[in-house]
Amino acid sequence: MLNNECRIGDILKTLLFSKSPQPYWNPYLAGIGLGIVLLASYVVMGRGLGATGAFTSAVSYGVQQISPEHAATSPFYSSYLPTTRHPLADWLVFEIIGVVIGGFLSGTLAGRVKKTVEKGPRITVPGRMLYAFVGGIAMGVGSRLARGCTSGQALTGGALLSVGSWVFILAVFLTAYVIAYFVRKQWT
Amino acid sequence: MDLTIQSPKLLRILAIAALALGFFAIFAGSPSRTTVTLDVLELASIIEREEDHVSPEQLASMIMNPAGTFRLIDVRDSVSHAVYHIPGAEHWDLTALASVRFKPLETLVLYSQGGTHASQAWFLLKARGLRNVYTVRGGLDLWNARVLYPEPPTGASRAAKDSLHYIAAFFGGFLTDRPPVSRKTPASDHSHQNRLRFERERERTRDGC
Amino acid sequence: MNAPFYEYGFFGDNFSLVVALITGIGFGFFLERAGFGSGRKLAAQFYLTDMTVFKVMFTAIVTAMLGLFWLSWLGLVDYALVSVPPTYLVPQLVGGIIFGTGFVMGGYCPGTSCVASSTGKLDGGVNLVGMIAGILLFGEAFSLLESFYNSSSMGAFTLPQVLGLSEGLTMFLIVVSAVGGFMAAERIEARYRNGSDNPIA
Repeated sequence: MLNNECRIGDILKTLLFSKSPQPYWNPYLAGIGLGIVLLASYVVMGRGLGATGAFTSAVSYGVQQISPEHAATSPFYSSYLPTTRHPLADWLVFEIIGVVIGGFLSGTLAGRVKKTVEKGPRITVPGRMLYAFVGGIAMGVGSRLARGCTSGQALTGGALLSVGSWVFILAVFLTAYVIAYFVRKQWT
Repeated sequence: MDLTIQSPKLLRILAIAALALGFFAIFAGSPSRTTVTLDVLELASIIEREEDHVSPEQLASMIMNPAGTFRLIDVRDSVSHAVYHIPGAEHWDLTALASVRFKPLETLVLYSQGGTHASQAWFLLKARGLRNVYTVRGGLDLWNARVLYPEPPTGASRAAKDSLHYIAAFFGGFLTDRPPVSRKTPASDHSHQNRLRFERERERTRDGC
Repeated sequence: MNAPFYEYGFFGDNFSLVVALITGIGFGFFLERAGFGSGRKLAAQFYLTDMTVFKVMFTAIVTAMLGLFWLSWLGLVDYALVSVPPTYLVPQLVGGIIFGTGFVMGGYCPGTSCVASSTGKLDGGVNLVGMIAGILLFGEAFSLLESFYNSSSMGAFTLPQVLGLSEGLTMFLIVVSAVGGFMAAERIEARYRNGSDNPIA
């Protein structure tokens, strides 16, 4: 009995986890897949996707737990703290949990789940981590100013032809190309 | 089909499909439609059951004790709206109401000076398929008479008069036998604060990304 | 058909959270399928060696854009009920610049940093922590930024309005630009990328 179970477990593990990494999908097909998910969201919910809103809800909730008064007096935090429901019972919070699950699912099936650090050959791990952290801060600030990120503004707003969203996309791409030169030690 | 393959033939097909869909969109016109189908029997029965309106007193209560969210809409001209409007009221004229996007389940309460325009607007919005639309019976005229400057009924108790006065004061008015003593009454400040609070409450929760 | 379904009351807020979860799973799945769990692949866009970011993003935008228009035209969706993010021109421009800096420094965008973290990339996790710190920083500095944050508000302002063209024509121009961009992207990749056609993680 025990032997059979072990064997099934091993087989599953081999099938799912120790695959060598598979090639990525054709980007245009992946893009169509993504576009269909976005379209489904429009048709079912009347809204698009997002990411940073979820984290803002979480941050606002955290601030509220530490100091309810501070959260309540800030127009920024309080706009993410509705009184009619729990702040984390938010559409984007659940969506981002799904993103984590979906990413893991796809990665697992393709043998691409591995503890690693993405970096170029010329930088150390601590150096990369510093860039990752500071880059994260910039994204946090930039996304709040723009009221969204690549998911909420570029994809969602872009497909709906919002002027501000297209301005955002252009600003992101052009700036990234310029800044890429200055951080090339990290990636190349 | 191997989805990882970069097949030029497939890409060409996709590109042509996208260009075709984009091209035909030029001639398709706008997807939004202004012709509607009406269930006149249903509308008639709503009116007969008096489920198409609220009284001014009911509106006052809805504003003072918000149980659910609703949008109050003033359908008069913009000048009249600027001179005075019920606190929290938005302004839309009839042409705008025919095309502005409202959510199908939003609760909308319409008022005009006497109630005629509001009733016409009610019909337009019901025709567009909105479910929860109401008018304020008697319009602003009845609002003034019953809520803002109410005349206490003869033989009314002290408590009843106090209650009427409290409601009137909330909106910056007064009971006709208790006119304010000075020009700048505490009541008008009170109503300004309430109006601001009411309008800010509605702005609060946002759908972010 | 009465759609968007949520707007017509087919289900309430609680079920919408289930919808959110399922949508997110689809979103994360396709992001990872495209290879966006890898910071190197994402950053490569900005060194011209791998144009996947551009291809995926604009294919998705074109797909959703055309899909919504035609479904609406067929009467299957009321597209007027789909919320268009309001435009705040200058904050979105400045935000885009700051975000773009963070994107190429961090190697991820917020959605992809979640996908990266869930597939084991430690730098993705650090990027997420940084993003949370950035949001907190913004929140704490909000009183200074508030008036800028609310400036140049234009409401739901769309490209057809600003270009003075019909929706159909605007969409066609976007499709043409996208297809042209894809053709250019293939050439750029061929020129700047050395090595295999489909890099593995």
